[in-house]
Amino acid sequence: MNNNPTEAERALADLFEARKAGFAGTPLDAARESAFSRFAANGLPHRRVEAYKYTDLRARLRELPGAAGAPDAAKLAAVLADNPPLVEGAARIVIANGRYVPEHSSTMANVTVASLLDPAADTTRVGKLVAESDDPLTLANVGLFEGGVVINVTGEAGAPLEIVHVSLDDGLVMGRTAVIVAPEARVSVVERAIGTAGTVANDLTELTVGARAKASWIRIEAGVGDKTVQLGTLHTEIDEEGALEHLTVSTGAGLSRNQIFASIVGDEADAHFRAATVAIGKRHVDNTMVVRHDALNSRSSEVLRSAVGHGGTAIVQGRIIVDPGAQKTDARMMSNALFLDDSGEVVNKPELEIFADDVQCGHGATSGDIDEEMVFYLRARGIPQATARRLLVEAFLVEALDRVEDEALREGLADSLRAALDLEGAL
Amino acid sequence: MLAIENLHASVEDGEGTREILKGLDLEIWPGEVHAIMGPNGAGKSTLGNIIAGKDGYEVTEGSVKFLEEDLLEMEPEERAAAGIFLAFQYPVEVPGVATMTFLKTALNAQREARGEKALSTPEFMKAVKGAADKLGVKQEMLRRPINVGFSGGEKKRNEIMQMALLEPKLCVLDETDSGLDIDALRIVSEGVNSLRSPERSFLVITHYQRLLDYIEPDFVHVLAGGKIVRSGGPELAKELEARGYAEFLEAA
Ligand SMILES: Nc1ncnc2c1ncn2[C@@H]1O[C@H](COP(=O)(O)OP(=O)(O)OP(=O)(O)O)[C@@H](O)[C@H]1O
Ligand SMILES: [Mg+2]
Repeated sequence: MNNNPTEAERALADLFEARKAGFAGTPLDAARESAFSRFAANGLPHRRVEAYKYTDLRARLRELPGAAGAPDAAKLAAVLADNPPLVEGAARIVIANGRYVPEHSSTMANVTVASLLDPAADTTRVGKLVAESDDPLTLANVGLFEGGVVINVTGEAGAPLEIVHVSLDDGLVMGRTAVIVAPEARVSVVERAIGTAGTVANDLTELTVGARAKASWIRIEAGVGDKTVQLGTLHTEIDEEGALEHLTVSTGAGLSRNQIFASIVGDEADAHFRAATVAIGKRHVDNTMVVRHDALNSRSSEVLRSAVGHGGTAIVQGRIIVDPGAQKTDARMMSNALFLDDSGEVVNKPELEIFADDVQCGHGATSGDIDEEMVFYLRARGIPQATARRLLVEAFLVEALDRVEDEALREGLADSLRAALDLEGAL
Repeated sequence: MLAIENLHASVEDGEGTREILKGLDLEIWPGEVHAIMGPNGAGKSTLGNIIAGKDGYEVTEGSVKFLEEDLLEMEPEERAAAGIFLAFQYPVEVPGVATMTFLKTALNAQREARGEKALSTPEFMKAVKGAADKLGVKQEMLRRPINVGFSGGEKKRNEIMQMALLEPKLCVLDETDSGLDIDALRIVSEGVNSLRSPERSFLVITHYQRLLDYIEPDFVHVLAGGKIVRSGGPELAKELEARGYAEFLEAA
């Protein structure tokens, strides 16, 4: 037991007692209790916990806001109207203050959506991917989530999905989502985190990509200020010949940690992860990825682009694990960081754990300043210095979007990166 | 147009300060084509870079005037807008910035600096197409990031295409002929010649007479030891081709 809990940890323990009193008797309840007690045993992770060495949550989250209550309908409608879908024709699934809001969510062909709190919902596959996890953010969410959805994709999804996490009240929010993509099915998802300045969010997603299924997933957190905390964890499993294309875009939360735990469990599967990060001013963005290969002939790649300046910090932790027998694995990771001035910080921590002999694995990291030869080339053609630097930084970041097929979406994402570069007149 | 007087310039390298230009004089009037030849390391690119405004060179003495303005006081982008264009000896690759975006940003930035109206997209497209067709630059190349994956010759063509689009007053060509195949040399030279006019001047840096067969200079200068050591007409280039730089190196 963690015998010297912080104020935040005590608040979380109280919150769990309150949640427990309201458990509605769903099949998920048992797992919640055990997860929370495992979380509480160690409390919030701190810098002596290896995976959190650079993002000390105990120190950064000494106090937490109160848990958000049920969302106000008028406020929610206004926020949704202000933030139209990024992809035209997308079908929305809205999770406000951690709770599924069916009134604002739409239905589409080959997709079923059910509330995790509905005792009638089929949740047999929910929790499978996190059952073994000892990650504290995962355990906290499983114990404390206030609501969420299980989404079954049974064929080609009738429309792109947009899962919108809205936080309305500067509260603590823990929405939970499970998406099961059946064999041969196809879906593309945009996951957006829209929060108020004082939001502390800890989302959890489980994504199962079945055999020969294809999923694309884009997570965008356009945090609103340096007090906003966006923690998001994805656990995913990809089966035989399945494919996952994932992208994380982080631009503005004061504290952001995006975790991905991916397991390739079927032969010939693909999983590709991209991340574009802007960390300017009082912003700390942590991308932590663990990719495990436990199958033959599978491929994974991670490309992370980070632009930091004005004291901002980007943390990139990437671990590739190749299990014994996972022959012909091709796994690559590359982290590139660009310093906008000399006050930013970037930490790269790559780890390879390879237990098979016939594999191709590699990682690389670069960090550097804006290339002055390139700046001069642009200036020599009449482009003012600030514009030239700007073009180069944008170009550097936008390369992380190169696997986004929808052109309008790619432009929209590029726009949010551009807007983030405007913070504090960074360039 | 351009008046350089007693120009001294040095660079900092690992060991300390090294003077590269040691009292260079050069005067170019509107409509003139000047060629500069000289041995490797003589300071030819240094001169081009100083005209364009590149960092890293310290001018310790002398002056450079462009259209009566003190060029050394101007930022590189101000020089470009005023009409200076340097076709680089080694054009850099700029990943991620589409050539089209770059050209449009450059052209409209220059126009804005001169108080002219920005070109509309159709006007711009027409201007680019004109310049690209003239230099045999394919549309497909314009869609790629600047110079990325271009062959050496394609990069040089791309430089002259930019020059045709931006219509500068003083064009400095730094070894534009190197890396060009025989046909490309002709196409690029024709591109340059079509830009010749009574108002536009050229400073052509080259090692080879062959380029000067296409782009006939009014004056040829030998740059050696950081100075212009000899000037003459087109016949000087032929003489150099036959005799080399030995006599100038001794003198310098
Ligand atoms: N930024 C710099 N730092 C250090 N040395 C430099 C720099 N720029 C030029 N030099 C040196 O100055 C000298 C002149 O170089 P420059 O490139 O001007 O020669 P060049 O006449 O153009 O030669 P080439 O015919 O080979 O192109 C060379 O010895 C070069 O190494
Ligand atoms: Mg040179």
